[in-house]
Amino acid sequence: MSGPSLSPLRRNARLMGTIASVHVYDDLDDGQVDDAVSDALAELERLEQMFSTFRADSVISQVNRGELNVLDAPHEVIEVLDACTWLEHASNGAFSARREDGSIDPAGFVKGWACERGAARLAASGLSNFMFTIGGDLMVHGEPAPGQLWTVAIADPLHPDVVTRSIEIADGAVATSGTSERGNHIRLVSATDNRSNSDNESQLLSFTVVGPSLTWADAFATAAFAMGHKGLEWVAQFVGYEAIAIDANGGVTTTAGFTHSSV
Amino acid sequence: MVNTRWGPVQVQAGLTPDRVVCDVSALQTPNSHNRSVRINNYAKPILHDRVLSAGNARINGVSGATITSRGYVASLQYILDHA
Repeated sequence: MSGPSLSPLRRNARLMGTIASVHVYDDLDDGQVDDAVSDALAELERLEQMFSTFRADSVISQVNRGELNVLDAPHEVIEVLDACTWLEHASNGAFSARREDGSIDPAGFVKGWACERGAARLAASGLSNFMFTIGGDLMVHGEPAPGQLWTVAIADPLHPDVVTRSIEIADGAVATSGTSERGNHIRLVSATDNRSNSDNESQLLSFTVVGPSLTWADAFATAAFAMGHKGLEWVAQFVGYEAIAIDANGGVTTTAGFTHSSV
Repeated sequence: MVNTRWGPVQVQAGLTPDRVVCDVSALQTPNSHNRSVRINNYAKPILHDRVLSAGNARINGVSGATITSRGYVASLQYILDHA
């Protein structure tokens, strides 16, 4: 129906241990787009500097060494820790930003939250049609071509070079949590979580959440992955959020709100 | 044409010479009014269930478990970033 998308202006940056990609489809002066993207990436570098547990001079590291009281931390840190506390309660402990030794590590929350802030910076700079992604979590805004939805592939956890599923969305966020490369912010609620309850339910390999906010899509994906199959029902209680789970047998389960389409 | 709870959805599929599906896109969704389509898809994202090859499909982005910066060059997002 519509022609091929115009090639977007694309920028990459190394951030938060992975790669950020920004694709801008606006028909604007390249310099204006570049300035807007630079501004958004600089904001993310500032946030990484604040939250990284790998940097001794980050605010989180200072708090963990007892040199700074959380109440005296920048408002961004208080906002994130407040949200992490809520999520820990809402997920019955499946998500936690607290380590067993009492120190804090909000890394499992910060990436999606920061990516959403980066996308908001682009919009504030006057961009209308763009994708902002960091390490497999993404936000889209506007449209890639007039009248077109965004097509987002869901990486197959078993065959990462083949896309077996894709979704189409308008403005919004997609985040996936999986078995690979996750930090210790995933804490299984009990030894039986995310395991087979019967022979018909195999262990989940990846859990994708779609919704209006990347902060919450990412947070819900992280918590729900730790819950296993019952994570679908948990995500469905949040208005506007839908989920797709892929298990070790290649089986796909979704929340009821998905429109399925096949050829 | 696929009938869903929300109305008919017409999809288009591209085939490679050996009849492997390489591109799937929705041509018609239950609402034709642009704003309705947006709201509809906001709440009801469409899930396509067929094999796509990253080289051919009209894919704007990739969602997957976090990749490290080292693993990025082997990722589908890398292909999209450098196509």
